Amino acid sequence: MSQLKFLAIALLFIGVVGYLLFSGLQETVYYYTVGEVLAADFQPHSRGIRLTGTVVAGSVTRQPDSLVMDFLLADDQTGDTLKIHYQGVVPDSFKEDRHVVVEGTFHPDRRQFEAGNLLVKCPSKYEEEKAST
Amino acid sequence: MLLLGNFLLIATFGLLAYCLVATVLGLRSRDTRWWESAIRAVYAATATVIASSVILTIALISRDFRFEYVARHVSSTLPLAYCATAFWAGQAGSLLFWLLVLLVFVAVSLRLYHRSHGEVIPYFILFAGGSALFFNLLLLMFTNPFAPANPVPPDGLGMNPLLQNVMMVFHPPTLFLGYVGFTIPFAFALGSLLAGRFALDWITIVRKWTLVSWIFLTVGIILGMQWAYVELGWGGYWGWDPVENASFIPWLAATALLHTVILQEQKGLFKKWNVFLVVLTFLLCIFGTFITRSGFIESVHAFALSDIGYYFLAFMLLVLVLCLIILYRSRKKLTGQNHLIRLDAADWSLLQWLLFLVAFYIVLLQIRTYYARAAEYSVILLLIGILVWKRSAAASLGRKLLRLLSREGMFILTNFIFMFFLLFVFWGTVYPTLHEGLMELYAGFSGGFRESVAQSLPGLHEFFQRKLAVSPAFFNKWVMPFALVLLFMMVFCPLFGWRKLNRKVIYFLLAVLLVLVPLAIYTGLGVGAVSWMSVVLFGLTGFAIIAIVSDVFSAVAIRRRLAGESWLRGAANLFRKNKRRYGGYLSHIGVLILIIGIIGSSFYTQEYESEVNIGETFIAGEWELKYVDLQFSQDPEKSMYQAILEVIRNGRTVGRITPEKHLHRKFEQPMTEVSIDFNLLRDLYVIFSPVNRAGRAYFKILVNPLVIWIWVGGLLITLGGIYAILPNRRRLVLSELAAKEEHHA
Amino acid sequence: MPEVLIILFALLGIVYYVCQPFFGKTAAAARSTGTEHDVAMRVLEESLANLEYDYRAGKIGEEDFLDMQSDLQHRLTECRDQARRPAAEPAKSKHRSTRTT
Repeated sequence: MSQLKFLAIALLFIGVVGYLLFSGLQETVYYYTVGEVLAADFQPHSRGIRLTGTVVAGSVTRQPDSLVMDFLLADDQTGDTLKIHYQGVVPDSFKEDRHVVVEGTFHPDRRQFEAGNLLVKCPSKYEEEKAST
Repeated sequence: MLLLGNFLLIATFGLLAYCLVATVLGLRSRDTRWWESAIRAVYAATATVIASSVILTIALISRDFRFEYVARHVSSTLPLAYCATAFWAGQAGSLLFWLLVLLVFVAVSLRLYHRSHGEVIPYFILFAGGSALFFNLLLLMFTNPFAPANPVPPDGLGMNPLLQNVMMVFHPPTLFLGYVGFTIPFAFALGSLLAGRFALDWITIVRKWTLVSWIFLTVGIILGMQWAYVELGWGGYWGWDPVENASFIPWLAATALLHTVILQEQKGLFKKWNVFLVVLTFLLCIFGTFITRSGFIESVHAFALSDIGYYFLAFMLLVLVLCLIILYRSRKKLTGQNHLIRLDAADWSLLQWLLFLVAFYIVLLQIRTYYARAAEYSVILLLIGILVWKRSAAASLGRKLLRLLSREGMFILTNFIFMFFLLFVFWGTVYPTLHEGLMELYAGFSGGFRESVAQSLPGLHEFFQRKLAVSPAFFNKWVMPFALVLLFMMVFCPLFGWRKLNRKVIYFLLAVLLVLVPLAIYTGLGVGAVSWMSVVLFGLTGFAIIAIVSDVFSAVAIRRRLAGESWLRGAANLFRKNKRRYGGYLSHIGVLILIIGIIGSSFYTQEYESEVNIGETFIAGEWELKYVDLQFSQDPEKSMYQAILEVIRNGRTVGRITPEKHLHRKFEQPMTEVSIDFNLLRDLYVIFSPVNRAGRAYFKILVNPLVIWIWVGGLLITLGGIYAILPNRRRLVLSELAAKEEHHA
Repeated sequence: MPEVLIILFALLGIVYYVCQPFFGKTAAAARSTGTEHDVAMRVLEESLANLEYDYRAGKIGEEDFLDMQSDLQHRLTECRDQARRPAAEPAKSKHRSTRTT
């Protein structure tokens, strides 16, 4: 009896956790580096990806009458660069030479990354920035 | 000063270690002098921690850069008020603050209970003193606030401009008061359990302290939301960031606890579960501190993970194991007299079949072939088959489950909802970190194995090779069903009585369905441009408020009838005599109002953007905004650009908005200071970025409807909690009241 | 130097304060003299009043009401009885009744 009960509860628990796991994976985005995206065998994702790298100094250009910005993102290891096209409010901490994460989709035909989300990593000087929220 | 600070910290450590040893010795020898001495050691430790906090505060205010902590968080140009609040801006200071609050709370509860609960106190000291010792150890080993600066800098680094905000003055300390406060019910509950004094009033004391901490936690969360809204400049107040979740997860556990406490007090149910929830809440508070202070879990991995994280993990594990052992060993003492439902073998076998059916259906759903419809029919047929086959068991189970449609059942259901929500927020928060563990595990396999996985299951191979992030979409997807069920519960819960379903509930259900369904269909058919979901949510919220108000109304009517009181007097007496129930109602109304604000601002936000020169006007929805002027000013800390905008509606100027951009000298980064024009219906949220020196500027305008109700709701939740904690005077049972009335007559 | 002196004095003071119980005689055994019955009684009284409101508002049937009322009243009298003889029951008995509110 109690074994059965235990089994039922365990099954239910595993079911719920498993379902959470499963549904969680539907809404996740993978991290890539610039070099990996530029590699020949890269398969574009439908869900979008996150790209990490450093903003190349002097590459940031803003279009005059809109909130559109282009910049080059450099791979930290290989040094490959990729053009990022971003539309939206630029975070206050965005600067050249800073480590950033962009989220969006890569278009191999134009060799350009369309970013809808721009996150700036906080350099050590701002260490406490996130810690205190 | 540095020396003194270090001495005080070490003295605190010594005192805490001594109080643990003395308690254990006292428990072994039954010599109460040891306990007296241990209690004194706690008081002395409280005094030394207060003294060391005073020293740190003085150092911060006097900008004594010989302290490394001061040099890192304060500068000569930082306003004085922010110098003092730098106390909790950094890791070392905030852990010291944690210790300070904990010891003050412990000292207060020792004073309150050391006479009345003499035999609980030694165990209480073991738990509370033990966790204080842990934080003291962290301070001494990893982040000493009294570390000397080497070399002493001429000026400090200063405070991050994002933290220079009124909300940031109050948000961290209130949150910490909440986190720390949960140590008291935790230590008290386990102490009572170990002392064998698990009768009568322990749950009431636990409830009181849980409520106190819950109030602080609530205020802390609301202030954090306000800070995010005003300071971060993206127009939202909640982003499902791990740091936000860290405060929300223990809040969920504590809220669940506050509900099941009622069930234990009144019906003797849920005793084990309550102890478990107390422990869980405490652990989740430690977990919250761990997330915010260790850098272990971070969506944007900015700073290196320090060893401090492992100590937190070890501490949590230790507490968990210890508590589970204690809980297991005292399980017999915690058996309640009542059982809501007692399932027998027949019920279980039926449930097993049903469970099997559910599993089968889920598998079918995942396969998702074109004959899915046929699969659904087969599941329904199977269900009918099982119910007919086991009809007597089905009937008895049905009758038993019907008993869940009562106030007890609703409490249990509420509890399940909170637990489920907690589990999934927790999961979404820790999964990216767990995944990194999985990746390491996978990397540990042999190259040949991984090669073959890559060949046969490339998706899986990639999954184990990549870091990943859980996006807010995951949370938002799950919030909706949660909110729906919760609202549904809030509509009906005030109407339920103990034990059985009553007619009121059914009538009200019919009324709700009759109004809501047509409305939802009406909007769903595209007649209104709004989403039908928001209509349903708004409708449910409205009904929930109606249910609460009508319940109060009927109680006042009863008083009126029995005691002959006027409406006003009756209501006043009712509220005064039962602070717990009506405080709870007030909190519920607060939650509903907060939900109204959330629905409004998440379904109906409008965005406008424009780039204009000075003197030009642009249109944002029903408003016209005229960019009047750009002003420049400076103070020692920063230079400020302020745009002045006139808000024009129907040709009339109705307000002024002055968004700013600050350039902090120390931080080389611009700071957006948004400006918000608010009224009861909407916020006009304006973000400003200068484009060139001639004054050309870009503006982004967000129209966020009903945001102010989020803050109003938060205030009401807090006030309700405070009201519920006030002591009740002895109350007259209604029949006595009626007798008194007759006597007068 | 004055800092070292302060530290020395503080240390002496702390040690004296903490050790003081050992200078005196053994204190009486710690026991509950307290309020537990008061608190429990108040909660029970509250429950009784709430129950009556629920009944009169039509949320609880008569049968259930009477049953639950008598149960609560029973617990209340039990509690009152215990409260009347607080000193008679020293805390050393670890296995006392765990009948709770």
